[in-house]
Order: sequence, then structure tokens, then C-alpha cells
Amino acid sequence: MLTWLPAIEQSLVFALMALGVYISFRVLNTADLTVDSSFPLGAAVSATMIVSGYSPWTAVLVAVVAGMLAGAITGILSTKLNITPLLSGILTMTGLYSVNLRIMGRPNVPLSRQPTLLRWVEDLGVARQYTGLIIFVVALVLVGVFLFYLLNTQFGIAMRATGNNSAMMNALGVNTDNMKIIGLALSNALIAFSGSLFGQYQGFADVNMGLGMVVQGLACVIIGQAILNGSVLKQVLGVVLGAFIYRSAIYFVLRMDVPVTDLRLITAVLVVIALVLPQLKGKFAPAFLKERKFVNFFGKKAGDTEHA
Amino acid sequence: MLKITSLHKEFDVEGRKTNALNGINLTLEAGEFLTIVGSNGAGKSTLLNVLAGVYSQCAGTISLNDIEISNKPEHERAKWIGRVFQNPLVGTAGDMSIAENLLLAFLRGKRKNLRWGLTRKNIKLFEETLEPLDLGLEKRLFTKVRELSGGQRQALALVLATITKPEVLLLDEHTAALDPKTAEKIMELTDKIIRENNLTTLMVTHNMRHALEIGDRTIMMHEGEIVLDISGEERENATVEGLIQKFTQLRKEAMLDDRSLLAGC
Repeated sequence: MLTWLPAIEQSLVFALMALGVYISFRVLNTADLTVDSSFPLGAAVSATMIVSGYSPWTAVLVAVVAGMLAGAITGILSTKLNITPLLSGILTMTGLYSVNLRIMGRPNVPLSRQPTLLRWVEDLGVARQYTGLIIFVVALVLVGVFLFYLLNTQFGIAMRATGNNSAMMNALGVNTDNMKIIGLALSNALIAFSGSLFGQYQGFADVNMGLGMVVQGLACVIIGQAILNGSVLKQVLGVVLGAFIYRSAIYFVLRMDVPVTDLRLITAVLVVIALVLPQLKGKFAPAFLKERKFVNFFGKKAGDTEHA
Repeated sequence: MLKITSLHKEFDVEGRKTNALNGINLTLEAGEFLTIVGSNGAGKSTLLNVLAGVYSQCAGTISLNDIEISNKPEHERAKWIGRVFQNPLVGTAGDMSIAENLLLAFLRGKRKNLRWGLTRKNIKLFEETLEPLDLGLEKRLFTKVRELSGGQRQALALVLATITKPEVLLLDEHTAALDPKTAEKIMELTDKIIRENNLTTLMVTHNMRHALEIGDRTIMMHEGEIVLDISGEERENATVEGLIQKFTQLRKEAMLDDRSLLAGC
């Protein structure tokens, strides 16, 4: 059980981070690379604050707000300043690296013997080895329920539609620029939140801890999407499931004595497989499965005219 | 009432200036249904796009019920202006359900709050709205729009554009991408919706018969200008052949015409 614990804990943190990536990648339909810096930003802000004597709760809250700002900057670059979304993310990510160093004052802030959230839970009488697990489960459930609700509100439906068809939303009177900025702020707030928790869990914040996070987040989202797709509920559950599958795959690969340095390559290959598999499923499926069920009111078979 | 005064629009394509709209003056009374014909590049779509705020005009004004709207951004004008595009994919959100699309149309120009979107009350409202249209969509509210055919999707786009009874409806060749039979059905539905709700409409079409048979008034555009404006008896007596003749004549004149283009804005 205990050898499994870190794998489960890491899956939970990754699920949290991947839910942030889900907002940008799936809901807003844009690849946001801010992640690589907003993840360590969350850790940097909260670690620095905890070391300076602030309560871990305040530290996490400020980390979330910092992530929100980072996402908003990427959003403003891509909408108001007309920089391509991909480049906007890269620019914010690059700039934030220096900001993270400034916040911490050095590349690494250790949190050993500091009053972190884990210590707070431990003080409630929980055995030390389960504090991380409890915090992550509670955080993931809260965030999952929050997202499920939010994306089904009037506002959330408008945000999803903006990602799906921004021309239509403009024509329906929605300020799609603002919608994208808010979406990216929300996405990076969640990512900074997971970064903050992860920093406290591993006992330090490091300026390089976000390297490769985008692709790992995408891996969780895309694997999840390949398994569960459809309603918001299914998508959110899919992301969590994807995080577990991805981390389990990594766990087993590492146990096969593959060097840790090969992790990135394995992740990239996993993402490619997850992206290609659903296409194959479509190609080799028997014809009767592909046929659409609906015959429309003009007597023509649905799907004859367009494939979105 | 929609009032367009000396509207100019110029595009700069790779250093070459093109006059898309060259002083358009047009007044539409409330409830008037205008059809617009003209060859490719006549400025028909540009006119609709400038009205909707997709492009900003170089000169001239647009006022709606005596309120100047020409400097408002697209999403603010959308409060009063409904649009259906040529491509059925543009007017609807394919990855969302019919009900979700309808909700967004009902909330046109309104604040989207943090309450649950598809409430039972809303679903009932959608069913009641769709039922009289007899499209069968009310039974499939939770179907993803991408599962609909092009014709169904365009019918839905039309419903989305008109459900809140906008002050102005802009139809940009909205049947051109459909097969002839489906196009006829959509045109019938269009006419029905516009008449029932008395919507002020501008409809661009390449179908001369539709241009003359549907609506109250027809204009022909050529090189960014209105070259023909008929309504009433004159329009009733107009024939498709007559319109086509006018077209051919204009094209011949254009070849002789070598006037230089105006400076850009």
C-alpha cells in the first residue's frame, strides 16, 4: 500500500493541474503554454509566504490569485494585442521564469519544518503519511464539483461555446475577448493552486519544477478524452481518470528500470498514441457502427453534409 | 428603422486598394424585407459585415431607430442584429447540444450569470418555441448540433438568430451551401419567421427568383454601389430575365470603365 501512496498522491495533483489544462485546451480550444511557469509560480508564491510567516491558507489563496493574473496576461496578449495564442503563452511563460526567481530570491525555497497545509492537517490528528492524500482528495473533489457546476451555468455554457465557435458567440453579443481572458485566468489559477499544493507536498518550491508540465497536463487530458467524452461531467471525470492512467503508466515504466531522464520522451510518445488511437478506431470500425442513427426532416441522412 | 448614409469601405489587399462599398445610402422601414443581388465582389457581403460591425466603415454612418451604431463593436451591435451565415457551421456551436445553443440565443445581449443554464423552465420554453416550427428539433434538445445535417443546422441557425426578435436580421446567402430542395425549405422557413415576427431584414442571395419573389424590395449592387432599387409594382412586374439582363449589361460597362480607385481610409 505505502509504495503505491506516492503514485496515487501524484496522480491526484496531476489531475488538479490537468483540470486547469482542460479549461484552456478543451473548453477554450487553445494550447496555453503558460502552465510551465504558472505551476512553479503557485509553489514559489506560497512557499515564500509560508517561510515569511503567513498562514498556509493565505499563501495558497495568494498563489491562486497570482496564477489568475498570469493567465489573464496571456489572455490579454492574445486577444487585445493580437499575438497568436501559442506565442502569448510562450511569452508569459518566459517572463514568469524571472518573476518566479524574483519572488523566491533564489532558485529553491525549502519548506521542511515549515507550517504547511500538510502540517495543519497533521495537527488535526491525521497520521503524517496520509496528510497529502487527504488534502489532494479534498481539493480535487472541490475543484471537480466547482468546474462541473461552473461549466453548466449560463456563463460556463457561453464560455464553452466561445471555445467551440467564437464567431457565433460574437454574433450573439458575447465579448469573446473577455471570455477568453477569464477562461485563461481560471485555468492558470487552478494550475497555480496545484503547484502550490505540490510544492508543500514535496517540501520545497523550485523554479524548474514546471518544466514539461504542459505536455504532462495534455497527456492526462487527451488520454482522458480518449476514454470518456461527451457531457461536462464525463469530460471532468475523464481528465481525472486520464491523470491516473498517465501517472500509472509512468510508474510502471520507471519500475522497469527505465532512466528518469527518458520520462519526457515517454510522455510525448504517450500523447501521440492517445491522439492517434481514436482516429484509428474511426477508420477500422465496421460500417454499421459509423452510420448515424438520425434521418433528418428533409429525408437525408444526418452527417452526409458535414463533419465538424 | 435602419438608416445607412454614404457608407464607404475600402480594403487594402497586398497594397492594392479595392473599393468594396462606394457611398451606400439606404433606408429601411421597420419590418421591411430587402433582398440584395449582385455579382461576386459587388459589395453585398461587405455591406452586411459593416452593418454587423465585423469590419469598421471608412466613412458614413449607420443608425438604428435614430441611434448611431456605426462605432459600436460587433458584440454590442449583436444586441439588435441577428445574423445567419452561408456556412451552417458558423451559425451554431457543433460541440454543444441544441438546448445549449438555444439558451445562448435566448440570452443574446444579456449578462450570462452564474445560475444553472439548462433549467427545467428553460427546457420547457425551448420546447414551446421549437414546436410550432415543426422541425422535430424539440424532441432532440440534448443532441449535439454536429449530429444534425447541414439543412437542420441552418434551420437551427435561423431560429437562433431570430428567437429574440432582433431589430435587424442579416442573411448572407444563407441557403447557398445547401442542396436545392433543402434550400427551398429553409427559404420557406425564413419567409415564415420574418413575416410572423415582422423583422426588418436584409437578405443577400444569388437566386434571382428568391430575390424577386420573397420580401418587399430588391436592390442590385455593383462595384460597391446600389444600381437598382425596386419595390411595389415595379418589382412585381420585374422578371428574372430582366434582372439577368441588367447584370450582363453592367458587366459589359465595367469592362469599358477604367476609372481610378479612390484613396484608402
